[in-house]
Amino acid sequence: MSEVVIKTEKLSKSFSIGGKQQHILKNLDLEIYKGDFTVIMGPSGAGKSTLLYALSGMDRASLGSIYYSGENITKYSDDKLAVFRRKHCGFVFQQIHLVENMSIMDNVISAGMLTGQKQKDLKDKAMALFEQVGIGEELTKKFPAQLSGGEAQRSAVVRALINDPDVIFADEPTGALNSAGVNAVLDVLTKVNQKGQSIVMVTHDVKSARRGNRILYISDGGIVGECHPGAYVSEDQNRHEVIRQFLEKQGW
Amino acid sequence: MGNLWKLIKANARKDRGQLALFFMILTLAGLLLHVALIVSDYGNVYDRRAEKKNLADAVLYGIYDNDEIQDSLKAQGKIHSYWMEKMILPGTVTVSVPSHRTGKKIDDFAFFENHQSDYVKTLDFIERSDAADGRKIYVNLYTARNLGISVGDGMKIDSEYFGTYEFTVAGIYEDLILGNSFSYYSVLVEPECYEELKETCGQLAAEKNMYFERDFIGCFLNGEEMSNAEWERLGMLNNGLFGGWADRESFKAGYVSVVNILAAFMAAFAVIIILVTVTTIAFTIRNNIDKDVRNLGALRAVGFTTRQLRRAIMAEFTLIAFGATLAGIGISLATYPILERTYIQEQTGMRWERGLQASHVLLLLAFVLGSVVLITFLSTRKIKTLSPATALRFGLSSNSFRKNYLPLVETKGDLNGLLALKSCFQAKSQNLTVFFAMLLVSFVTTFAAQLFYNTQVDVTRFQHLIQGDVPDAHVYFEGRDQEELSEIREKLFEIPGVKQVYGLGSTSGHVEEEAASILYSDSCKDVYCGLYQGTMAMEDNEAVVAGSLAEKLGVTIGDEIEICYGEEKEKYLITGLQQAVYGMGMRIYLTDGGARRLGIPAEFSYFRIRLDKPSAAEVDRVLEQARKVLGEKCTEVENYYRYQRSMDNMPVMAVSFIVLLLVLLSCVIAALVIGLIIKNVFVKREKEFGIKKALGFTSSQLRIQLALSLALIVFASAVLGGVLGYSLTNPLITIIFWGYGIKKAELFVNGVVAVIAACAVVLFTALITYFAARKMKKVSAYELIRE
Ligand SMILES: Nc1ncnc2c1ncn2[C@@H]1O[C@H](COP(=O)(O)OP(=O)(O)OP(=O)(O)O)[C@@H](O)[C@H]1O
Ligand SMILES: [Mg+2]
Repeated sequence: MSEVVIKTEKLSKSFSIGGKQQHILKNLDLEIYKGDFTVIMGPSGAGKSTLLYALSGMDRASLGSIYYSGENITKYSDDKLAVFRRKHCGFVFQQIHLVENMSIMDNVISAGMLTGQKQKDLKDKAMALFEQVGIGEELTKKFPAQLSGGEAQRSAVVRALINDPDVIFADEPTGALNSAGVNAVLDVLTKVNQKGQSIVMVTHDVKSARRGNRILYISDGGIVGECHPGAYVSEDQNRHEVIRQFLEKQGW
Repeated sequence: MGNLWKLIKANARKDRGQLALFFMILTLAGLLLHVALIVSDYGNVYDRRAEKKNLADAVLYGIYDNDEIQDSLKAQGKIHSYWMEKMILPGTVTVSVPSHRTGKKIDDFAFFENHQSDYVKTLDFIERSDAADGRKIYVNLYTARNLGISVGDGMKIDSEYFGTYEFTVAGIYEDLILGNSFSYYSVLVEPECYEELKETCGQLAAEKNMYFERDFIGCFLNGEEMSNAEWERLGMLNNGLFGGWADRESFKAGYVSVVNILAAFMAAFAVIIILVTVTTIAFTIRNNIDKDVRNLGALRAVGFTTRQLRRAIMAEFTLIAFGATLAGIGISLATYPILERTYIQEQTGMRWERGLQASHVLLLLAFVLGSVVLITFLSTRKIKTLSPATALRFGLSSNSFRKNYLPLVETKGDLNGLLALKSCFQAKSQNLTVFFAMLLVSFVTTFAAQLFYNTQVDVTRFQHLIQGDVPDAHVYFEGRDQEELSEIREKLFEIPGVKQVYGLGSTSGHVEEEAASILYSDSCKDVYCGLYQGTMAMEDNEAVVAGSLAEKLGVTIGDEIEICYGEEKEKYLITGLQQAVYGMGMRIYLTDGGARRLGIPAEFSYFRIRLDKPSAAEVDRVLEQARKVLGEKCTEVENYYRYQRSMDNMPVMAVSFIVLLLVLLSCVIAALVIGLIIKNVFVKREKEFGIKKALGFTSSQLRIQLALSLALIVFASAVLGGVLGYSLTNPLITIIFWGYGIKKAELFVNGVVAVIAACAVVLFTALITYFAARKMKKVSAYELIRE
């Protein structure tokens, strides 16, 4: 068994809607292993995004604890949590969320500068990443509002990778992409995963899910199923079927 | 319609924090405007009441020969009728009432008889309780409010010649001729009492050759105007023995001139506040549109027309403005009676016409709603060209992001600083509106601070502006001839600490058709006359005239004018122009020699004194010395320095008080506007901050970025607002008092005060920013993004 990066204990999250408490995550126990490409699936509204926000320290749990490399981050102060995020977590949002008043390049660079990387080095690193996801230099000078949905989503992936985070959280990073785009993004994620960075990805798409070596199924605020299709090999035809069957069993 | 209403409700729910602030700002503005309207309406109220009461067109007063005056009145074809009344002016009296235990010295006191006469019929009783025991007295409203008298109080009147009378106040009435600050503390006494007083008058006339009873005559014109000279001829009959005249306009001025000053101040503040509010509305709407552009795009996509969207926004703000204006009117109706009872009646001697004036409400609503509709219409123009596709994809903001300022790849520097500068450059149109709104706010604050200084810290200049010459002390004496006068002056001069000793007297005369006060002094160089151009009159053929009088006469410095006093006429050379609110800017200053040329006696019964280093205690010390060195000759002294700064100093203190209220009100509004602006800026950027926080910026880094990106604009607007406030205070005051003959106001404008005010604005903005941004710390990144 490999090393645990993130561990939750009785993680609960509830929102009050119109004065009524709605429990989205209920006493959820989960371990994320170092170097894994973990895929989270489940019906819409199941709490997948909510879980991702909690795991990455972007939102606080209502109850329970989250440990990162053995350290309880639920006890962290707000600032400590921010510093934790910038060093250890990269995040690709479901709604993309680039900063609107900065160019794509500056969006990436400003994230990089947070960890104290040199501007000069950052530019080269960013350009290399942009190239991998298929974004040319001209596009990087544009503002988020001036990009297509797919271009913006790929840029958001670059931003999540710029600091070489230990864990990359990706909330449907391929939602807005055509198949070429999907492959480019997934290839990049697979590549960094192979270099040792852990990945936690939410997706609705079986094709994307194939990249994972561990698939969790979440429903009604808890993990209800788990599947281990083994490490990703691109020609593995059987893999698709394994996952499909797993999902079918979950009532997908 | 139903759809539109849903949209308005949805918008309102989303903007409720903003709208609440707006509501407050507009309520305050509406309150102020409504009070300004009420206060500026006293002139009309006076006219209406004067018509209803059939008030005389002019009054004459003096000691007349009955046959002569009646013949002259009948001979004057322009007068169709008149009434005659008697009054007793007892000279200086000391009035003791419960609220003034020590007794108050009053020079201009008048007794009238409470009987059925045409004059008494014009009096309107406000309160009356004839069941009172003892000797009854009825006082006019001005007297009642200024002495703090209520019905049922005891009132003791001490007079050197008439002895002591004790009364019970049995009623308070409104007197539209003799019940204001320019006229008398007039009272009505019962016929028996009046008889008694009259008997004393007869004795005094026979024994001491002193005359206390006067004729008081009200004249009605048959429609044709009478010239000042014609009035003066009538008023001065019987050699002008204590005689004079006043027309309706001049006694009306006694009732309304102070409230008009207040109204002018309120209107000035109200206009500035409306400007601030309207700018803030424009800013908020533009900001909201930017922020909600995707929402708007979505609504367009499902089929709303741009017109519907615009209407929804316009309706939202117009409804708020409507509600706020009504609330402002409501609050002013509820609170004005308190202000009226405690401050305004003291100035006007008149009652306010209670209740709501439809014309005011309509005017106010038309004005406020008109400006809100216009400004919302203009600021929603952006939506007109909004195509759903563009809005959804790019947002309106894409237009303003043509250039990426300070690209991080090429610009060296601290990350927080760079990001702050970037967003500062990137949001140009927002910055412009923030700048403009903050500019107005800091201007109002500075202006208010300067007025605060002039009315609360050092009132000298303000007093000068309103009253003209203001000494530190008065020393009254006996002895009238030149030799005695110079001896007294010498002695006063020798007291250490005394800087100036001078006499200043006044009488009335006219130039061409313009009535004017003639002031004369034996030491013109010491008189503060509000000279704003030229030099003081030093020779006996020189004169300084009020700027507005000079304008009316079409003369200026270097010209010659012919001044008339009674039948006398003399020519004088104008050497300077002066200004002061009192006397409506109709004044002439002469030397005492110059006054004598016209046959004015130019005698002084008191000297005015100014000290090197005045303070209340220093004046006391000097006055004590003065009593010592003058001995018997000194009949009385007055510490005018202390008086100037006391609440008795009407109307300066009343104006000061109102100005203080206005200053506080503008500070509250400034604070609300700053709050609203910062809230808007923050709300608009909340998502950006959320994303940045998610990426790992700490909340303090984000706060620094927010503060820095605003700092430049806030600083620039505070500095410019401070400079404008500093340099425009006097011009603005000049405009406020223009109608009173002020051509160039010279209040203190204090650099330090301006700096303090500007700093206060910056500090307050920083504070508000800090609190608005506290949310960044309290709320998780996820929640910030979601908002
Ligand atoms: N801040 C919030 N306040 C109230 N309810 C919330 C909040 N955030 C999420 N929810 C609710 O929690 C539930 C789970 O939301 P979440 O975004 O985690 O779903 P999801 O599994 O990511 O769905 P999808 O696959 O559609 O993205 C939803 O029903 C949502 O309405
Ligand atoms: Mg989701």
